[in-house]
Amino acid sequence: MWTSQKPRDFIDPTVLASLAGMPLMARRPMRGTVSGRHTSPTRGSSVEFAQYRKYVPGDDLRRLDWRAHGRSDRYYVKEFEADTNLRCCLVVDTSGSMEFGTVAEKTSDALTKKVITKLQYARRIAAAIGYIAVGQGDAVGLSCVADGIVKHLPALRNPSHLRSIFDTLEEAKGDGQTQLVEVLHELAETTRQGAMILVMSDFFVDPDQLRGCFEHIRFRKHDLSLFHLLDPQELNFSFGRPTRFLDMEGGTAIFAEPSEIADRYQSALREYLDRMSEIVTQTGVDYHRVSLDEPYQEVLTRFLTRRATARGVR
Amino acid sequence: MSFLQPWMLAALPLALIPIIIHLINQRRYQSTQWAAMMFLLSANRMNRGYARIRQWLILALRAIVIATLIFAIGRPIASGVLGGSIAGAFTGSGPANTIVLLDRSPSMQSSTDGTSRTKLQTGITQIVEALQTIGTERVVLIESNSQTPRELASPSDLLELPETGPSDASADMPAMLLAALDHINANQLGQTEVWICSDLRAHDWRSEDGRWKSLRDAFVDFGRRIRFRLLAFSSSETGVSAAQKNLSVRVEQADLVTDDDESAVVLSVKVQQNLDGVTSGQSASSDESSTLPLTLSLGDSRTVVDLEIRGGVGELNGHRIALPKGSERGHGHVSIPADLNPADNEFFYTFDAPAARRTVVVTEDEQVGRVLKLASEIPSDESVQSEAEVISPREVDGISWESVSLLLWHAALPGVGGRDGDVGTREMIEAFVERGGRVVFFPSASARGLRGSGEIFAMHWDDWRDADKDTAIKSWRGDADLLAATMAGTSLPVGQLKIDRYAGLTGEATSLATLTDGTPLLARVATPRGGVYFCSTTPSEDDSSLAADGVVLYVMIQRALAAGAESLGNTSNLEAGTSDPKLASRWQRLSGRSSALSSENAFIAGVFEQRDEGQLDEGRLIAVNRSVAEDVSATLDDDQVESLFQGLPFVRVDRQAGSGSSLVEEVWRAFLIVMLVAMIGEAFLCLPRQRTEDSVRVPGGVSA
Repeated sequence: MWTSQKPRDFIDPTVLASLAGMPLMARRPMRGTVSGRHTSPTRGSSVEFAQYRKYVPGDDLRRLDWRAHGRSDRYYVKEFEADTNLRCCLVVDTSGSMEFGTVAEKTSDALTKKVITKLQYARRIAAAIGYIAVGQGDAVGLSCVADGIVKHLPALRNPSHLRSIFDTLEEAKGDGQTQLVEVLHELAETTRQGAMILVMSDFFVDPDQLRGCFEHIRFRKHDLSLFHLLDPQELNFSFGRPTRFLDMEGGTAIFAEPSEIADRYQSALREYLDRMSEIVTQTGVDYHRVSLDEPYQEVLTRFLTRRATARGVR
Repeated sequence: MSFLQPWMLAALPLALIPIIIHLINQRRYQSTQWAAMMFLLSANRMNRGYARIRQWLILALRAIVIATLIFAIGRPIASGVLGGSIAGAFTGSGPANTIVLLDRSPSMQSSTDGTSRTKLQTGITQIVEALQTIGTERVVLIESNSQTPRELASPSDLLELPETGPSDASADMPAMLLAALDHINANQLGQTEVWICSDLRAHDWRSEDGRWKSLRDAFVDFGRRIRFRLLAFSSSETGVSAAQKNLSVRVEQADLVTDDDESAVVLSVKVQQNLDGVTSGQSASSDESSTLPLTLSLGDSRTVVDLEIRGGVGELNGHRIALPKGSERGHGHVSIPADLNPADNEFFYTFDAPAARRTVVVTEDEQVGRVLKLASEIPSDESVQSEAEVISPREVDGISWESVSLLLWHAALPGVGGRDGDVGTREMIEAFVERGGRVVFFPSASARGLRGSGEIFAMHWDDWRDADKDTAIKSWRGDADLLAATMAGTSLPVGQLKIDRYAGLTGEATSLATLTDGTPLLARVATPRGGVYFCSTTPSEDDSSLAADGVVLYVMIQRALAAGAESLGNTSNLEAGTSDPKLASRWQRLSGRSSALSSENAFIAGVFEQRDEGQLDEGRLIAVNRSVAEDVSATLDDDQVESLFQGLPFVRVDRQAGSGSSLVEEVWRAFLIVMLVAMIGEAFLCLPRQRTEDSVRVPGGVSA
């Protein structure tokens, strides 16, 4: 097992320890390269019985079920489930909007007031999931996306690969405009079928465009999970006085009286979130809306638990 | 609208505070990095116009809240109908000086239903309330009787003074305004408000009077220093209804008739229906017939007679009331039941045996003397005794003036340019006229030139002129005085007179008959009492046909004689307000309103007894009643009133008798209500359209 050589602020050993007993399960069969703990779409030699099928010439005679032959005078081959590992692709949005955050971080030093940005939150989730995946022998890759794929690490199950992932996460800076739709289409196409894709982003793009991405990824038989990161300020829009809003992705600034447009902002936000919920439901995406004031440990626990209970741990 | 605490209006700029705060707030914006721009852009696009309107509405409502609060604290008064001056609204609550012109005429005693407050009471109450509310430093009362300014300690004195009570004398509005003008000039008053309380009766206002023009010119010079407020009680706009009918009673004649054995008073009474603002002749219901109980009182006895009112008029002619034996003198009154105006429901009368009508003809011409003596001696009424004597100018000193009713002077005028004794004669004639006697002067036919024959009453004769054949009487006054038409309406045959010779006349006199060349044939000189006439020809057959066509001369002399005899009689019927108040204050009231002050005897209807100092026997009986004009309810229309006050700061407020609404009212409650409404409106507009909790879901996950 890999041990961190230098302290990284997005890795909390306590949290990782508490998540150690929770496996990262795929919701659909994965196509791994080696044996693992995930169901494979192909039959294999595990202890879990899958089905009988008629013998055809060329089958391994060792798999003939002689007892069945004795009962029915026919040749059947006994098949078992194959276990394989998964390829976990972590996609972290590193566009400019991910640098937004207003939730104060709980630190022991009361004097240093530090806030958690969406990118930091994404780092923590990505690092924890990567750690868990590598720990259970799965391959983990990382893609940092903004106005394109800024950084890409292929999925490897080597524990030493985790260091590269952490380094890349640490170096990631929020900058540029989001081209999430194009990037997700690209990833869907370039990632080998049957992978687990986890996207951590604020998804500030048109939901209808995302629908196409999700359907594309599903078509490619990937298991897609979304962590929709939203700051409480973005949800509540609680400003007291006139404010000049500067676009973090380089767009035009807007001057507004928050009290006047709050209702319409809320209306637009509500419409957007409703649309997102509708799309993820229709496209079968594992969707997690996360407010940054929520501890990421709880988010991960909920994420892992729901998967474990839905699929069953082996 | 004005304010009792106008200095509070200085705080009005505070109403701009919300707008200033808004603008400052706009300047104090913060800049923040923001990620969720897509929602902001969407929100900014939606309903931008409505949001802006709402924003300005909220600001306006906030400003209104503060402004109305300031207005309310400033104690606004609803004197909008009175048109408070702008300067007054900001510099002080009320005018420095207030002059109240009070019309106390009988018509001001009418009310809307006969029982509620009269116009006079309502007007006084409302003026007092208004003045107490807006405040004033000095209040001066000019009432229609005395027409003299009287300074009051406070406006509330108007409610208590007997001089603000009802009166039976007509008002003279130009004279009252003249008194106000004199008072303003004499005291050098500054900002002054002249409040006029009147019912706009035409005869009180005398809109055709020449004084109005000079008054207007004088007041215009003051600019806006003098402001007029007319509290008008002309109720013509209230419409005509049965409940508004008002009847007035008047004794047309009260004569003593003495037969062989008994004597009686013969009364002629006229009851006339007036509608408020409409004369009876114009009444739509003039054809209605009804019966009215008419109460005739004589001394202590009362008689009730049912009088039929038809077409708005009821007449009782020749009604005899028998007198006790030996009674030849007395007084009484006639009354009708109470109606809208109690002031015209009673009429007082007196009667006495008529005095002998004695005429003195002063002439040296026998023919003229005989004609004039005949015309004077033959009485028009059998019951009246008439005497006449002809004397020469030298015997004038021996005339017993006390018993003379008419003096016919056909001699050289006594005067400054005359003989030594003329001065004394002139003074005697003037005293005679002052007492109420009548004089008719004829030009002397003596050979001496008329031009130097003397002067009296600022009149003197010019030379004789021979009339040519075209000379005739061009015009004469048939409506009044000696040449008036008969009671039947027939004109006197003045135009048929032939004038052969006439004398010119110089001086200020009113021509009653004028010749074609403009020379007056008969002229009257204006005198306070009595009557002075100048006839520019003589009854001599060489001069005119006055003797031949004797009707005109006879009527003329008999009328002058009757008028002169009246001044000698022991009774008289006067119109209220025509007597000298000082003289009248010594009269003793025998009948009428007993609560009236003696100083107002000349103005309050009733019967009085006048005794000279030291007189022990019965004095002269005087009946004082309202004037004939008071029974005519014509009022000035709006245009007439406007023209009277043209160019002057003038505000008119129409009120009705018994009206309870004040002229000025504090209306701060209305402002507070407006403020509350504005606050509620502002709160409503500030309400978020949807609750935040409903708008955003609690973060969570969705798993397919």
